Parts: sequence; structure tokens; C-alpha cells
Amino acid sequence: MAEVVERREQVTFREMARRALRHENAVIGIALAALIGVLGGISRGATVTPGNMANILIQSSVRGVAAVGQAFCILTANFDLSVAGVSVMTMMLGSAMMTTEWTNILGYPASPFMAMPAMLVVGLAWGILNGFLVSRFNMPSLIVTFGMWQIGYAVAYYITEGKAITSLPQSFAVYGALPAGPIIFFSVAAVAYFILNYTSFGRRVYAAGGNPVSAYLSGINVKRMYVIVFAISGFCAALASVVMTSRAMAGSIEGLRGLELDSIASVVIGGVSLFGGRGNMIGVVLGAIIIGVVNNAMSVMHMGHAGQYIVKGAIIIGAVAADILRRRGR
Amino acid sequence: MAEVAERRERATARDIARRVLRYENATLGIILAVLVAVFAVVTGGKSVRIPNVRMIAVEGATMGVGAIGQLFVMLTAGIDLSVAGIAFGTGALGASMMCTEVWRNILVMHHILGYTEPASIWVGVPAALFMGAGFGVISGLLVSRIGVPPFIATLGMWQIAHGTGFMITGGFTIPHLIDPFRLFGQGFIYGFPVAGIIWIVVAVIAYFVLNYTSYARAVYATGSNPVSAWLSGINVRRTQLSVYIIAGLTAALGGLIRASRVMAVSDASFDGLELQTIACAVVGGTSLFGGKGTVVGVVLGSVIISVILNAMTILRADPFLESLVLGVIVIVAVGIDYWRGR
Repeated sequence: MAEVVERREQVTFREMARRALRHENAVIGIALAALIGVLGGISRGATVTPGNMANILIQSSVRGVAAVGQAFCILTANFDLSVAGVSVMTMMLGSAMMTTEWTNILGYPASPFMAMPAMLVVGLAWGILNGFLVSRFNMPSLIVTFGMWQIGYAVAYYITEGKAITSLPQSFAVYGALPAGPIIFFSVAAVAYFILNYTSFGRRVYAAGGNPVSAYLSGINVKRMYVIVFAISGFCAALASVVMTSRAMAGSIEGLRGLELDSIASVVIGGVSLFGGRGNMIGVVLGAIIIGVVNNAMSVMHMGHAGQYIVKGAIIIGAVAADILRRRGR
Repeated sequence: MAEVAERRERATARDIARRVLRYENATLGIILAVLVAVFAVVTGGKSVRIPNVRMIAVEGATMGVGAIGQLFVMLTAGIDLSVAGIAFGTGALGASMMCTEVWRNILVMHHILGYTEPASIWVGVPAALFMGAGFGVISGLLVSRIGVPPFIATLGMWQIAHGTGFMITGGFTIPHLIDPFRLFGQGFIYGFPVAGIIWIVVAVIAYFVLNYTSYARAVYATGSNPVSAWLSGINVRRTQLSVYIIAGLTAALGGLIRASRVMAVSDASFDGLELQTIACAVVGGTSLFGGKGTVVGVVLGSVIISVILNAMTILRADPFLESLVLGVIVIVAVGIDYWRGR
């Protein structure tokens, strides 16, 4: 008898571990904790100081907000490569509106409360345009948003002729500072989590991504879903741009380069399937922080641009390959 | 009777027009001719002078050669976003090997390879091409063996290749390349620019491969339906692998041409090359879903885009306008393709 009980207990323990590992978010969380520990060890504690942790959190907020929008797109098996383009465009627009040195848009410097809604509306409109092109003309989102990325950069150049804009009003500095940046990130993620899990709209997003044909047959307006997810992504990209502009207190063309890649990487590491219909917001938040931790550790340890590019490329490929291999194993 | 005959003739004339327009390449040729004529008028004849035509050939060669590799990948329903990264990574390797100045960062390369003198073009150029093929092998293996979506595999490879280039150059521009290297981008043979000749040779080889070999059937079949291709005995995996190697090679070759034209390599040299090659392929009638596209179309597409970019340079358009036009062209070309396919 005693033997049996013991064996059962053993099984239970193993079972618990297996169950925990079956939850993707638990695995991602463990990976994050291990990463922070290992990188802290390698850098001899330089990465785990409170100041640096706060830095990571703010850096992750920019990427994370964009990743939340990107996650909506990828859940419907679409991609938004225009994230960096639209966010740079809104960054330049917002900074141009708020400064006196470049007042051609309004003629006078606007307050942040005027500039921020303008940025968000432009982002939203840009996203709707993306969604419109994808859904009405049946074009692959990859190419459409790639083109729109290019156009976004072009408009950003047009606004300032490629020059950086500094001397933004001090009152704008709040949104990228410590409490506000992460609060924006987590509240956006929380709203997204709620929408995806507790509203019929969220269910429809998963359905449209999992199998567009059967979703259409069961009465879901798939095309409208596409427009909405791209609108969300555009809005989130603009919001990320608000946080970043406020953090840098300047608008520059190079300020957000690579955001589309970072947001896709966060989403992919967060366990969202590139083929649509699988994944959740908690994973995306963890994924964004993982990328933040890795990026930050590389710059703290002076790894330079070369290492950062290579590691980021390897992470993206590795995460997708792991997802595919794991699904094949099932 | 006369009425009937007349009507038939009218129908024939219309029919001829319709038949010509059904050939995409004829349509592209007409568009190209119209563009050349319009730009010639707008620029006051500047755009059709011989030096400028040579310039178009040299400038377009990087894009045009890369677009041919892009065509092979897109025929198998893939997409190669790593063109710019591979061009920079391989260009950086070639340039650092053939650089006459031995800097601290480049010294590392010379130490590894044991050079005290700059390498000759017979070593530097093959090394760069070999590296391009190597990058192609990695993304090809990821796509064909593991099943990573092509755009993610090549997006990652773009980063990795760009990072490798950064590692080699240390973030600096590498100038002062050995003089014989000037040949590729600035050389002329009987008045014809060497870059243009390379472009034509690559296009002719690709045309031959895609029209007269059984490999072509494998490529087109893999793109239009991988399952039925596999069932009919085509080695789909090997075909997929091979197209990424071809794309890596052409990207490296394109990178060398541009490096030779300016006799320097920097990390910004190839910005936007991946979108340019995609634009060339798409304008040339290549389908994004694989199995549809011709070399002639892609070459015409590349020439059209080169002519447009060149005219904008002559007219001193804002640099922002260039990327705007490119983005719009890609979206419109894809849109037209879908609208016609309906």
C-alpha cells in the first residue's frame, strides 16, 4: 500500500511539472526568469540594478504596445510590417505640432493634449487604410504593409525633410517616464486581454484566424475583422510612438527603426502562431519583456550593433522553428 | 455581306489589340516605351542621352540581378526579404578583403585569412559569392526542412547577414578598394557597361534555366502546388533549398556591383533593396502565390523601375518621393495582379 501511495505521489509531482510546462505562458515565464538570472550573472549584476530594470520596463513598453496591436493582426494570420513606418510618421507629426521651430502644420505650437489625439487618429486611419487594402482587394498583408511602411517613412521625411525635432514641451515628458509608460503598456495589454477572452469580438478574431472559410460560413464578417485588426494595430503603433517620443523628447527618423521586427518577435516569442488563431496576450507581454531584457543586456555588455542584429534574427527564427517543431511533435 | 465583312474586320482589329494586351510582357513593353517617351519630354531629352542610359544600366543592375533571384524564390511561393542584408554582409566581406587600407577592424579579417596584402578580385569576389550562397543555404534549409514561413526565415536572415556585415566593417564605411575591382560597376567593354552585361548574362542564364530545363518544371510545380509536385516525384525540399541559394548568389552579385560602382561599402548602401527587388518582380507580373512569372517580365519590370527612379533623380525629386513612389508602385502592381486574377 505504502508503495502505491508513494508512486502515486511521484506521478503527481511529475504530472504537475508536465502540466505547468504544457501552459505556454508558464514556460515563457520560466524562460524570462532564467534569462534575467543568467544575464544578471554574466554581467555581474549590472543588468539587475533597479535603475536598469526600470529602463528595461520603459523600453519594453514601446515595443509591447506595438506588439499588442501586432498580435491582433497575427491572430488573424495577417502581418503588419508598416508598424515602424506609421509610428515614425506619427512621431514626426506629433513633434512637429508641438514645437515652435517647425510650425508649418498649425502655425503655433500645440499642447500635448492636441498633438497626442492627432497622432492616434492618424495611426488609426493608417491602420484602416491597411485593412481596407488587404480586405477589399484580397492582397496579401505582407506586401501591402511593406509598401505602406515605405510610404510611412516617406511621409515622415516629408514632414521634416529628414531633420530631427527637439525641444518638445516639458509637459510631454510624463508619458515616457517611469510610471506612465509601463502603465500605458499594461493597461493596453489588459484591455486587449479582456477583449480577446471575454467579448464576442475576441472570439471572432480567433475564429477568423483559425479558419477564415468556416468563420465566414458561420456568419462572421471576416473582411470587417481584418479592417478592425489593422485599425487596432495602427492605433497601437501610434500609441507606442507617443511613449517613445515622450521618452526621447525628440522626433527622429531613426528613432523607431526596426519596430515592426521587434513587435513581430515579441508576438512570436509569446507563443502566438504565425498561421493564425492561436496565442494569448499574457504571452505577448512576456515576449515583449524578454526581447527588452535581451536587448538591454546586449547594450549593457557593449555587444555592439553586430551582435544585436544577429541575436535578434536568431531569436525570431528560433521561436518560429520551435513553434513549428513542437506542433509537428503533437 | 459587306456589312458582315466590315464587322468581322473591326472585331479582328480589336481582337489583335486584346491578344497583344493579354501578353503581360507586351503590356509591360508598352508601359516602358510610354514612360521613356514621357520622361524624355519632361527632362528635355536628358533621360535618353547615352551617358544616362549607361547610368540606368549600371544603377539598375544591382536591383535587376537581385530581382532575378527574387523571381526564383517567388515562383516557389516564397519571398526573400534578406536581399539587402545579404548584399551588405557579402559586400562587407568582399570589400574588407580587397581593401587597400588595413584598419584595426578590418585587420581582424586579414588576421583570420592570413593576408598582409589586399586580396585580388579572383579571391574577394568568389568569397563574397560563396558567403551569399551560404546565407541562402541557411534560409533554404529553414524553409524546406523545418517549414519556417519564408518571410520569417528571410527576415531573420536579413538581420543575421546585416549583423555579420556590421561585425566585419565595425560600422564604418570601407573605402579604398583595389583598382581592378572598379571593373564591375565602372568598367566598359566596347562602350557597354560591364554591370549591364552581367545583368544581361544573368537574365539569359535564368531564361534558359526557366524555359529549357526540367529544373524549371520542378520550380513552377513546387510553387503552384507543392503537394501534387511531391506526388509527381519532384523533390520539393531540394527545389525550395535551391531557389534560396540562387537568391543568395544574385543578392551577393548585386551587392558587389553596387560596391564597385561607389568603390565603398557601408551599412546604408543597400537600404530598401529588398523592397526594390520585390517591386521589380511584382511589376514584372510575378505572382506572390507562386507558379507564375517570367524572366522577361522581371527584366522589363526592373527596367521600368530603374527608369522611374532615374527620372526622379534627374528631376531632383525629394528623396522622400522616391520611397513614396516605390511603395505605391508595389501596392498598385499587386492590386492589379489580383484584380486581373479575379
